[in-house]
Amino acid sequence: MSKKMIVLKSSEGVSFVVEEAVARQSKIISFLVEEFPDRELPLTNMTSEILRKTIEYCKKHVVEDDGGGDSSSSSSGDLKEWDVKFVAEIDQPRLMDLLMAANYLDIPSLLDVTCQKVADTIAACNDEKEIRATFNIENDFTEEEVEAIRMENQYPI
Amino acid sequence: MSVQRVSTDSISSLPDEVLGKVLSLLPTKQAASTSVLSKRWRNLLSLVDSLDLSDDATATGDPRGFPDFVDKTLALLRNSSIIKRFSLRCEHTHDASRVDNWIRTVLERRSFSELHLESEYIHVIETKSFASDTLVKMRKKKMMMMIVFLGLVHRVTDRCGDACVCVAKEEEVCCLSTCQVKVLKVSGYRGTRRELNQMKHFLGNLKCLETVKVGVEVENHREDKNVNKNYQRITNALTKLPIASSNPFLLIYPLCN
Repeated sequence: MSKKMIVLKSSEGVSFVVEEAVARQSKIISFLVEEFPDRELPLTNMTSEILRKTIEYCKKHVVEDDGGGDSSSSSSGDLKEWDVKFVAEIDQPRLMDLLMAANYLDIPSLLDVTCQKVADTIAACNDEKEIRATFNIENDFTEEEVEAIRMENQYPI
Repeated sequence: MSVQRVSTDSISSLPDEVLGKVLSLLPTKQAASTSVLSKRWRNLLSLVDSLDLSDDATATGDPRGFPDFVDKTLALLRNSSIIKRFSLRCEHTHDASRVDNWIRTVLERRSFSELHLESEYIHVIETKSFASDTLVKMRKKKMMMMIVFLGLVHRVTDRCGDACVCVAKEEEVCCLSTCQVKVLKVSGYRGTRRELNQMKHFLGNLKCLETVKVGVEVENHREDKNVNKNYQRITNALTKLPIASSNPFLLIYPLCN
């Protein structure tokens, strides 16, 4: 039995042919394929690289409902391990892109793992300077403002 | 050739709710400290849906300031309707009425579903607030689903009472009878009479329980017959308790010290 395929197009115009079940993990795509069957879906704010990564994630996480028995492609423990490895291999800027893609396409589990990775990265920083450096956050406070906020955050004793 | 894109601050361009999600995954103290990063980060703490509060000195500095921090955080989240989870870990003693007030405050949230309480030294876990008018109100809203206790009773002094105040006042209508908690997890259970009474109270009154997990503390040397016997005794006592809900999954397991 042939599986239904759909076409996703990246911002560079590269087409990706994906099983519908795989792509449907995105709630947005799931909605779109119902509204516009047989159309290719342009994802103009996603680069091919990030789209490829997103599809890789969705392929791994697709639950095949034919077959029966042990229908999930992997056990949940393996899947967790795979997720950890998946986000560990991605550098900081691409992780942010992937997180934004997960948010945009509404893929809750991918959003969870990417947010967790960001939170872990923040948690691993020793101070706010390191967080700023890691994420390239520009400090737009004056020194006095920083001091005032820091006092606010201090425990009053 | 790979282009280094280190100059963009994409994290700050994330939508509020996504940053709120990220901050929800951090210990609350650390989430609060990100307010100093930049103006974009100044007021994001009010977006968290989970509070993870610990008075552990390494995490938070001087524990004496902890209650004020919790008060301040809860005041900030006064109007938040998204708080789902509240985790409170206390290594130090704090004013019981204040602790009680925190719990009550979060229980009033419509979306609230998970309460974690962990305390070695806290006084009574005053769970009046699980009940009474708060819970009656909650009944109409979405329900609190899970309560987790690490240690049911105070171990240090004998001053503490029962984890739920209605145990002592049997003549009153039980405060838990309207409680919709589905999951109850207790660890560090040692099978004292007081703990057993508390479990009896929970199991006998929580009508919606689906899962009960009790981690029983056992000494480490398993070959000791007395230890095994003790564990058996604790397990037997627990399984004999009358249960109000129909067919909950009851899991009792040993926890080694």
